[in-house]
Amino acid sequence: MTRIHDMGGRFGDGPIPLKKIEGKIVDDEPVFKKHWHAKAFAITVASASVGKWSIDKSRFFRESLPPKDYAKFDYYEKWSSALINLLVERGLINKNDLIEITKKVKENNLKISQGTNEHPDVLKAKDVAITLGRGGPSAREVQNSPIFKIGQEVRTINYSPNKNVIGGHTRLPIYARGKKGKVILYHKGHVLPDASAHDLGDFPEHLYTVEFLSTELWGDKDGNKKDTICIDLWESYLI
Amino acid sequence: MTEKKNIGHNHDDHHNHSLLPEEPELRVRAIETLLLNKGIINSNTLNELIDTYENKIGPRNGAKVVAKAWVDQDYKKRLLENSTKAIEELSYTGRQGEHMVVVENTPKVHNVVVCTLCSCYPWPVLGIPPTWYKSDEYRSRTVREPRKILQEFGLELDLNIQVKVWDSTSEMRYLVLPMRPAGTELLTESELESLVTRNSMIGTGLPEMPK
Repeated sequence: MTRIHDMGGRFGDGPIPLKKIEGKIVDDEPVFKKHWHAKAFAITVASASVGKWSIDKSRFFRESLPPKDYAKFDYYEKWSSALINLLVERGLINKNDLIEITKKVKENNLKISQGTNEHPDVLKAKDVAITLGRGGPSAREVQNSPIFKIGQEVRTINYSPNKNVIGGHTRLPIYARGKKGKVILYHKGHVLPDASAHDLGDFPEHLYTVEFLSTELWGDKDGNKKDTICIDLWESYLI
Repeated sequence: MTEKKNIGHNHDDHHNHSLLPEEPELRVRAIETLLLNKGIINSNTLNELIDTYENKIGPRNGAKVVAKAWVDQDYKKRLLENSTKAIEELSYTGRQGEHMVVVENTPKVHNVVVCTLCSCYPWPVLGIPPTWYKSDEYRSRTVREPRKILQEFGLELDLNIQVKVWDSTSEMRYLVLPMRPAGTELLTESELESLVTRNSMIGTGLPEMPK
C-alpha cells in the first residue's frame, strides 16, 4: 500500500492549471501568490533551525496529513499544517498552545511580543544567506562497494521498501514497484530517507538512477517503445 | 533499526493542525504569532527569507548557466560531467541544489522533470516552483502521459524524439539544458540568457526565438 502523496500515474486529474489568454500561456505568476504563502514558506524554513528535523521527516509529515486534508489543501496549507504537527512532535509547542492561540485569533487578540526569550538555535536574518548557500547535502560515505553497475538490468522490489516502520516513509513510487529497468547513473552514497524520516539515523546507501521503458510501467496501450522514465532509487529498493 | 514500529496506530501527531483555525491565512498568522512569542523564529529572518526568493534566487540564475554552456564548450563539458561543481562556479549553491544533474536536450532526446512524490525542484537555479509544477495534475500525469502534458504547454514533439521523464525521488536535482535556438550565432551571452525561459529548463517549454 501507499499514501495519498504517491500519485504518479494515477487517473482522474484534469489539465495542468496554466494561465492562458487566447490560447497562449501567460507566465506572470508572482513567486508567492499570496502574502500568507510567503509567510508559511518562511516560517517553515526558519523553524527547521530549531526543530532540526531532516528533510525526509518534514516530507513524511506532509504526506502523513489525513488523506482528505492532503487532497483539499493548497500547497502552503500542507506545509503549515505539517509544520504544526512537527513542532508538537518535537515538543516545541503543545496542544494547549494551539487551543490558546486559536481562542485569541477568534477574539482578534493576537499580540506579538518577540525577542523576550529567543531560542539559542533560532535562525538570524544575518545567517540566512550562508545557511541557504550551505544547504544540507545528503551525500555520505558508504563502506561496501555498489552492487549494481551502470548498464545493468535491475528490478525494483514489489512492496514498500521501509523495513523498519509500517506505513513509513519511502521514495520508491508505487507506480515503479516490481518493474524492470536499467541503471543509467550512479550517485555514490546518500542518506536513506526510509530511515532518516523516522529519526533512525542516516543509514546511507548507494543511489542510482534507473531508466524504465514507458511500456514497462504502463503497458503497450498506454506506453510506447520510445519514451522512458528515469527514477532515483536506493540500493535496497532494487534486486 | 531493529524493531518494527507500527505508526499506523498513532494518528495523533498528524492531526494537531486541526486545532488551529481552518482558514489558512488565519492558521498561518496564529502559528507565526505563537512561534515569534516562543522565540522559535525571528521576524527579520522571515523578511530576509521572503526577499531572498522573491528577488535574489530565481530562474534568471539557471538562465545564466544555460547561456554560458551555449557559448563556452569547456564549460558545457564541465556542466555535464559535474553539474554541481560547474554551477558553483557561478556561485549558485546550497538548499535544494546540493546535488545537481544537468540533462541535455538533443535532436533525439527531450528531457522533462517532475516530482511525483512531492515537489522537488532545483531552488538555487530556478527558485521556488510555480503552482503548476506543484499541482496534482502535473505530478500525477507527467510520468504516464508526458506527450499530452507537453501539448498542454504548447509543445508538439515529433514521434522520433524520445521523451525522457526524470522523477526527482532523491536529493538529486535535475536541470534541463535546452538546445540553443537556430539563428542565434551572433548573439552575446547576455542576449542568449534572455531567451532562456524557466519552462525550457524544466522541459515543459523551449527557449524563445530571437526577435
